Amino acid sequence: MVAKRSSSEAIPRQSDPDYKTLAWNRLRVDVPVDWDISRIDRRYLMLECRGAPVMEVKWSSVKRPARPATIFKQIKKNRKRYRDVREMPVPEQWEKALRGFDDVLCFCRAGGCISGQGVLLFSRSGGHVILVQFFTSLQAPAGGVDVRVLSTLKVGGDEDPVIWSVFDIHAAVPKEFRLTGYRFSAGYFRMEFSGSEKKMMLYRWGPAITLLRRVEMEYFARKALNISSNMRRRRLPPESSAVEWNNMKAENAAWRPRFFSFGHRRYRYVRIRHEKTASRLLAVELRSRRPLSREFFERIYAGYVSVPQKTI
Amino acid sequence: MENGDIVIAYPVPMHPWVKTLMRRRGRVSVQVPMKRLQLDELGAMAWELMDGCRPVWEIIDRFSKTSRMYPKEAEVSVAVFLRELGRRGIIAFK
Repeated sequence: MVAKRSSSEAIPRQSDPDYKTLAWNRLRVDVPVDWDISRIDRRYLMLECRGAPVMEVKWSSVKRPARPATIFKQIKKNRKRYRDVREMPVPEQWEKALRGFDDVLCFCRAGGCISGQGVLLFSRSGGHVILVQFFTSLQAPAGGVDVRVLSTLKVGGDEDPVIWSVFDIHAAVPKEFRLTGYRFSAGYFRMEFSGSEKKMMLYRWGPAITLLRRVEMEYFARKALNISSNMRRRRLPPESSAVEWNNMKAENAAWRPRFFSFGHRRYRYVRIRHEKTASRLLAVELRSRRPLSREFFERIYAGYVSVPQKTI
Repeated sequence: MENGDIVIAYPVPMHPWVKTLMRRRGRVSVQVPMKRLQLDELGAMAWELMDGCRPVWEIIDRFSKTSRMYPKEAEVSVAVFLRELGRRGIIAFK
């Protein structure tokens, strides 16, 4: 059974067409459609608009409660580029947007080519500290604080599955998985997750129209995903535009004692599909030391889609 | 080419002392060696967008829409491509 999937159902509907949802490593925020990620790290995002920086977000978990003022002093002391910032009172229009946080500290920076305002947020229940900075520069004079962005900002939460939405991919990943690696390069995205005795990889290639110009998708997938000969190809409906391989009936796997497979995930599910409208190839790979449930795989596969690009 | 690829032939710049050496050895006219660069479909697409008047941001924008690449990917790809063409002396920026 192949899970019926519709791109529009997998992506949460955005009430405002001028905004899109960004979700990365437990952070979730709505940003204007023309803001894009220019730099990314495990708990860091820098957004730009038409080549100019507009927003920077950094978040971290804190083991014991800390006052934002103390953290602010430490940041100023340890980071050179924050030495010219100064504290300021919380503007009235931000207060409503930041109601969900226990402690709030606002700061501003002026002078030079880039100025801006920012906020340090602390959530006791979630044990997170978030630093957000909005920039106004000569290239982006219309930049600055967007209250809608502040009001939709959140880290953590108990949602399951956890939403991951960056660039043009959107995935619903079970809560048990943690990000262990990623790569975003022109034409190729990869995200790696690790859970309890499982490992998951999400891939994206584009544009498919160029990649598949001279080769079939099956051939491309065999090379790109290193599909070995012992993997069994499973027949899928032609309308799914997908190819799947698995080794669920691994040879002699039943008799092998568990400790011999230490560090080796012998069960493997791989499925790749061609999203013709977006001209993308998306693939999901699951590895596990124990037999995988097909339903579990189908749920992850159904939640991994390509996001259509919005333009203003 | 028949498959849609474009081949660019461009002169390889010669160091002045190499030209002087060759003239001293009796070679009156020094032929400039040529190199060939084959561009694939995406490279050819970007090449055709360069008309000498179009700014870089417009090339990136059109390239992104034509190739259906994500805008940031298109920006990085085109920037690397232009840098490489500039390094080889095939194009110059005004």
